[in-house]
Amino acid sequence: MIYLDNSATTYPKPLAVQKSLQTSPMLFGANPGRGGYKMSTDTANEIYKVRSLIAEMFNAETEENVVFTSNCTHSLNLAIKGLAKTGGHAVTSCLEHNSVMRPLNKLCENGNFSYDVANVFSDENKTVASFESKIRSNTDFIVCTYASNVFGDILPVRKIGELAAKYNIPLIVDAAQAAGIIDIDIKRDNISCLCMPGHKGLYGPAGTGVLLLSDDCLPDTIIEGGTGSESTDFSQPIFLPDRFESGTQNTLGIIALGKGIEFVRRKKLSYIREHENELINIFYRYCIDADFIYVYNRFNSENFVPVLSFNLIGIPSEKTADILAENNIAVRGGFHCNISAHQYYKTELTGTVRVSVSAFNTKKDILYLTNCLNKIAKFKKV
Amino acid sequence: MKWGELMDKAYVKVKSITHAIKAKDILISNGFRAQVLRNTVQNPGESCGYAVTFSGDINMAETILRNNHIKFSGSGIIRNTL
Repeated sequence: MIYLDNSATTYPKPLAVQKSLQTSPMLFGANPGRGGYKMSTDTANEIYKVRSLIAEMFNAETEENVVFTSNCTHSLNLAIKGLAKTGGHAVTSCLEHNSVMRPLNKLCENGNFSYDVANVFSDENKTVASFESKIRSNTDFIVCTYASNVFGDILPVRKIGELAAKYNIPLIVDAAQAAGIIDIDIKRDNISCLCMPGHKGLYGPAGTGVLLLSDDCLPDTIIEGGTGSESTDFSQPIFLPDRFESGTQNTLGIIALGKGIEFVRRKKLSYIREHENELINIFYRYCIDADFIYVYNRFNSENFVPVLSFNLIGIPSEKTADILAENNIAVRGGFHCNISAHQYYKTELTGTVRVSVSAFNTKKDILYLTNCLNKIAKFKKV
Repeated sequence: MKWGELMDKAYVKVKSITHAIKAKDILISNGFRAQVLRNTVQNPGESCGYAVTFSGDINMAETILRNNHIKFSGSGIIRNTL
């Protein structure tokens, strides 16, 4: 299979991740933070190592600021609902995934919350101005994606962070498509809540996610329960990471995530991004030259993450993805859980076919894809 | 016989396993021999915490932990009663 659906989850995982998933159940099968026996503390040590890796990678104040979640959506819900106040307001962008839009809309259901949508332009300053124009006196937070999961557009997060700092408003960032690709520094970028999946650019297994909090941001909780600490108190602990880690954690997944992050560190972010950009650029140039393909933006490696959406003219996106699947190529067609971005790019009726690569893809994979698209065009007389 | 079995050991009590491991790593990087244990030196109403036991100067260890922003809820010496 030629796997080009890495925006959904990266595949394959590095060998060290696969091996960890095989061996950890025997070595680290106990519950960390509950017992004092060796396997429990050994498991806790392994989890702590992964906290340290993440804290260092994203320049968190301390390891405790790293909260493990089950995925990026979980992290976003903790941040969005934890920072929303009754009668409050949020500012978001026009490119947001449903993992942002659905929590925001849920908050609005009782009429005690509202949000405004800022536009994204190729001119960063215009984007920031659009965000600024939406800020109100009751704005609780700004929430935006680092990069679109459909079209790849990178938002000027550092400048939006400066804006948030100027107005003393927390900034929540959805880094689902950026973590492991782009150098993110939560202090430099003034990010209050950095939400990430573990299973995409960080090459961990499914069921892993991270919420990274700045030192000055403590959202309210939306999930409470056992943390292995302060058990005689009915109140949820206030200290991190326990405040947001109720219930038994996905220890085996987290330990494997650590191996994924070590893989990224060894490869280096810059190499991974350059490699993936090169592949997407080859595909982009092919699309531009093919008169039977429509692409929706002018891909360049500075302003986009390596994700490209396209359509074969006259063929529904889901059908194209289906034909490619029959030819052993895995891509995603449709709306990618993001109707906002499709409305913005005027593809809300068609959806798109999305190609997204990982460190494991090669030029041969792209060549196989383009040959297949040529055959589809010929056969279907596109 | 393993380290510390015949020695008095100092301890600090912390609220969670994450704080315990962090404290242990800091003490080890500062030349202490340290390990994480369940808090067995509980005050009434205190439960489910961890302790970091270590050999060496307890005052120095406390200073190092404070300088590294480790919050601990108590400290003391566990006397070897063998």
